[in-house]
Amino acid sequence: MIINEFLAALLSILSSPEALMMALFAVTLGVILGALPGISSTMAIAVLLPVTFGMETQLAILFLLGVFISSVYGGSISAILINIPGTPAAMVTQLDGYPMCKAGLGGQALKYALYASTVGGVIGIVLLIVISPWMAKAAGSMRSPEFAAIAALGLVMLAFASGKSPLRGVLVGLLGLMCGMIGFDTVTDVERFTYNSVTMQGGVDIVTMMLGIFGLSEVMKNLAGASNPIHGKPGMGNAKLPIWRVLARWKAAIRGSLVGALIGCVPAIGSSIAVSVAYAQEARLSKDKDSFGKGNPDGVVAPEAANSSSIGGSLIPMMTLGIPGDTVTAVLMGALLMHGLRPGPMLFTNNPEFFASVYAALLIGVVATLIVGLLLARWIVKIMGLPPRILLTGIAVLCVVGSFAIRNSISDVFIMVFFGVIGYILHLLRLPAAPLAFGLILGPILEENLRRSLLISRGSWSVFIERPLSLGILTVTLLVLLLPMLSALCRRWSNSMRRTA
Amino acid sequence: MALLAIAMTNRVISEPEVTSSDQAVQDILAGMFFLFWAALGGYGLVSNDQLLASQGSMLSAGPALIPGLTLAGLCVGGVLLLLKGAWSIRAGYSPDRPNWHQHGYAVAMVISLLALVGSMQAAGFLISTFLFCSGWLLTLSRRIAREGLRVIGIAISCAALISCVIYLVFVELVKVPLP
Repeated sequence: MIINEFLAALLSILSSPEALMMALFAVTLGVILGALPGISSTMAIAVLLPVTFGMETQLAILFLLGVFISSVYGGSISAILINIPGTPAAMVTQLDGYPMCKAGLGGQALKYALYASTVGGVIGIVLLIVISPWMAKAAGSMRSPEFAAIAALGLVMLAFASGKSPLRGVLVGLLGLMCGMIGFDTVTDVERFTYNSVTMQGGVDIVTMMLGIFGLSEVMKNLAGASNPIHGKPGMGNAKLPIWRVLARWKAAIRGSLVGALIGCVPAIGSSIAVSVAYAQEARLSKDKDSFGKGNPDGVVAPEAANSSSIGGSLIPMMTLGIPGDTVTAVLMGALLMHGLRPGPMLFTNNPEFFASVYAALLIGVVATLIVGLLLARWIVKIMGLPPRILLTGIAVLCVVGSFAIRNSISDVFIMVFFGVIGYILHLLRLPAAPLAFGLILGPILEENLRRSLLISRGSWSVFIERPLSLGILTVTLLVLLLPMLSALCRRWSNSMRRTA
Repeated sequence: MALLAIAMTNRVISEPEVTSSDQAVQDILAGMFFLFWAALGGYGLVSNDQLLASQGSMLSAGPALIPGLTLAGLCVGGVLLLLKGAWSIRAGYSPDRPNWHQHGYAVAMVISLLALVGSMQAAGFLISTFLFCSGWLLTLSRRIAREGLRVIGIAISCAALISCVIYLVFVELVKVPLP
């Protein structure tokens, strides 16, 4: 039973002072980075990933998940106190959090957010524990055609969800796919896209690319003033909040958590949608609808619970199918690959202890965030006054050192700088950068399984439509691709109907 | 559920407002961007005799299958974006003049990082990073305050702190052999 392994992993962390200190340190770092506007959870994890190279895998996962969970809560601090979401997922929290802050209740709003995050985090973990074995079992019966189809679906969905224009997202995804093919072909050992360069023969490392597109290019954007917010000095105001007032919001917390956890399970959807749906649902169900947007605590509780519970959900496709649910899980997947673990159904079968340690790390991260949030909130708010220039300079150096640390190679630093420039160009062209990483991760999975399927079927492409599951997944992929056209047709049709009426 | 959520994503995620003329220019530039990579990839594919020889027929499971399909996708998408942009321009949009000045700091960051990598190999990590951080912190502080010595003092202290902390973490803890 996975529960026994989970409890064993939990006890092992709790009995290790080193692991506990690591969790607290990671959580403190995560809250601080999440609270700083301009630093997303993705950037925080990407930049801190190289720090874990020297760690044992379990400790590295504990560190990275701690940063992930706490940065999600950290994002709400700046959303509430200065009306700028620290992370995109906190965009809805500011709608009611900031009015509360303006009314002198910033501290209370932070506590509502913290407690809701804790409830959401725990519910997300429960869902992860319940669904993962079932999902991994289902994935265990899949063969190469299904995996190729899932990789194609994941790539299309992730590209679609990354920006306003699906075509642009898909094209950037294809570019990522191309980057994944640089180097030697794993089957035939033939060089591809190397242009006779020794540097290119090593291929593109996923962490190097992520440091470039999520680290350096963000620094460049901030320097160019594109996302350099000007904000006043944050103040907490009244932070006294009796526990009965927190408990009175239990319905909003549970509803938000369930919405977040379920939406988070769907690959490519991410927490931004989960928080929007949770907020809209809470406003719809509330007896006092008019108070939403004017400082209703339920408007903080529901999205924050959804935000945290979506973490558990987003890990399900990554851990069981090997398909990242969003950009943060893509970076986490890069971290696992760096540590020699390839997420997927085989990992669940061969290494259930690893899954148990992930569950335990998540739970420790949630509890540590609660402790750090309660004890260090005022101190963290003071750090938010840190000038961005210090942070930007430090992150730029971290990107250089981090990319060097992967293979102790200067070439990787140049590749990182190259992807930083590419990330910046993509930003200027309003192209989403995230599909580049998705393409690099999913490309090898797609290619390996597609070619294997064709080899087994002796070159017949009908193998993909002969198997019902593969056909089903490919049909959904096609529908997702055609969705913008279908929705445009529907809109045109409904407009013409309205005009006729 | 996935389809519903995708549809909602397209509705909920909002991006900064873009004018039609900006959009047309961006479509053209994005089209050219993708076509450039398609051309570069195409050259890599065509000039690689070993790759073409091991591929066999066009749609067989060889090493050039996915590269070929990817490049075809990039070509078609790039041309579509180019045509979309050109069509909008033809409809009478006049593009705004680009503001190159705002990218000065971003370009300077790239150049200084390349210089940092170069100097790291000659002067070592600590000195190079300290100089890099000092330069940037002084430059960026100048935008905000002109308080002379105090600003210089803070910038240099922060530069020393950043360099030492990163050195300690990576060299002493993670055991990375930085130059």
